[in-house]
Amino acid sequence: MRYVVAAMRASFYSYMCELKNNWGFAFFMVFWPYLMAFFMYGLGTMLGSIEEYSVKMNVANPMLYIVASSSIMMSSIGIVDAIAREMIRHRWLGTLPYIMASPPRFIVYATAGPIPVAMFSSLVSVTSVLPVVALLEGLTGLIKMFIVLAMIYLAMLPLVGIGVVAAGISLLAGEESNIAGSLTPFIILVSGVFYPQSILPYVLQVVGRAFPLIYVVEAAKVLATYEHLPLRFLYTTVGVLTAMSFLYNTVTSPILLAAEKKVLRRGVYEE
Amino acid sequence: MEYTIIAKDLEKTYVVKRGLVRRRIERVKALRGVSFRVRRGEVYGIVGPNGAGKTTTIKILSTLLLPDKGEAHILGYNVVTEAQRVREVIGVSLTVERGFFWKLTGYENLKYFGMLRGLRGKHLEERVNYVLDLVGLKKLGGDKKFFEEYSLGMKARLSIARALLHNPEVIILDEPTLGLDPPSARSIRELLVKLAKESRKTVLITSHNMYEIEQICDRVAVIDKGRIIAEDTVNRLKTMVSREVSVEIEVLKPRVSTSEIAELFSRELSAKVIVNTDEKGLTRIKALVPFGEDAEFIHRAVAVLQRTGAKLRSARIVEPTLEDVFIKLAGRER
Repeated sequence: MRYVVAAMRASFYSYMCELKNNWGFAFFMVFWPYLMAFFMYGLGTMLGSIEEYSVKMNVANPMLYIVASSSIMMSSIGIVDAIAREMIRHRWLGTLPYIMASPPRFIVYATAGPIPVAMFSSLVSVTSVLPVVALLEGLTGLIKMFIVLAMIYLAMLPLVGIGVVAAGISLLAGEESNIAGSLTPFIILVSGVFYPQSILPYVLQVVGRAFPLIYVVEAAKVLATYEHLPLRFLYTTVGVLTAMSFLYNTVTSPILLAAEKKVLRRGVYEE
Repeated sequence: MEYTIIAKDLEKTYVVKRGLVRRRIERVKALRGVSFRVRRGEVYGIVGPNGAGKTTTIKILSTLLLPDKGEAHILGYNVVTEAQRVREVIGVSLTVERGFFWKLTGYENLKYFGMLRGLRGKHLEERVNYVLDLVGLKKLGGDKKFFEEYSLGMKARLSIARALLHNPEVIILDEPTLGLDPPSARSIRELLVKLAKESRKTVLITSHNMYEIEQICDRVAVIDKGRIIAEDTVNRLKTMVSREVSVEIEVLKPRVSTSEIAELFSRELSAKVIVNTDEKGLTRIKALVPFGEDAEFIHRAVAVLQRTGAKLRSARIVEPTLEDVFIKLAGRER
């Protein structure tokens, strides 16, 4: 447990230092959801009006939904990216051997390390859209956004498992291949963040159900549509995400352990 | 006698896969039964040519590579089955030019690695400041500079500072002074000796630099083709070449490669040599010659070198060094 906390603290510390030392990184972190929303709005209005979008997506406030869903998507995908890319980043930097020669187990560093970073970046991402939410929906909107943030945090747990699979495959496939690079667009595609999931082929709709992001998106839609909080729906979502967390993390941990063993058989850095 | 590092019959074969369609699998034997022991407070050097197995040995002892056979213990902990305990008691420096976050200062980088080892609070800050001072980075402003702004010498110092951060009993260093300017290399050598003699740390070091090994190591293992071919103190190893003299020839612009020169000397003069070419194009050939045959050897060597188009710069007889022991045991291009 000591080294779980150590891995989390170290990872978060280096991230905060990079943010402090690199203002460009900090700027885009805050404004990225707006850039994404602006892009989606621009693309959307080329295909149809915002009213039409509102009807098709079944949301009362489409602008709010676009901004909020951009933030949700960024945040939810963040954890997969953080875990899957982290090992490759360390290999590029040359820090991987030193991390593996440190006391925390590799699997501990790979899974626990990115969690505080992903939670913080989700918080920033959601917080960055709060001014718009407050403007459009007032206090109720703010409360709803914090419920969405809680959902995002919950959805991160099963996504850790997915990230671990991507990280494990990346290491097994020569330690340079970024599996997350192809996985992330796929998750976005099947999750129906910016369009109704019903327009996807049936197979992709079923596959989409295996990714937790879709449940957060649905919760956000429901929150954006109803005046009062639909507690029963939220409880169901929490239940699904919790079950996914147990299932995914139990199944995927051996993959990273196997990857660690293979990397150690091959050697962590080249002569 | 207390041994802090024990390696016993270590063997390792790398599997190299080549080709996409016609898959060829090559097996490269990197270690063929390497055994040695290092005492507390000792500086122990491993020398050998490229591909001899130095780094493989270091990787196994640092828990970064699993051996196929044999076992190794550090402070009594098995490097395979008790890897986490081993990681707690060793400090490692592998490559000096990489291994840090580019956009973090030296201080921030060390704090990160300290946190990863479970150090925290005031103790962590004290250790970071102490090691930065110890390796001379504070004087150079390295604590506040980003790693991307560091010179190679500063990077090497920071790498050693990281290895010392948690005050480990055993320090493992792979070519710690590679590419450093002489003053930086010297200050690092002095620091390593101080750590071993004053703080009773065990230092295991690999190097290409025979002079360095001769200066700082209490004992040396010469490794070649995955086997330790000699192991002793530097002085005792040097007695192996007491009946010989060392001849050093410097030439400019030969038309053949260093390996071809080594081959020529072997074929035509039956001599084992070390051949190096520096960045200015100066080729240095070093050979061991029986006492009394040096003049004849130089004469014949110059004739061989002239055929390669090389221009003779100097030829001299020097005191035998550890490098000459290496020539005698494993002499070839290095």
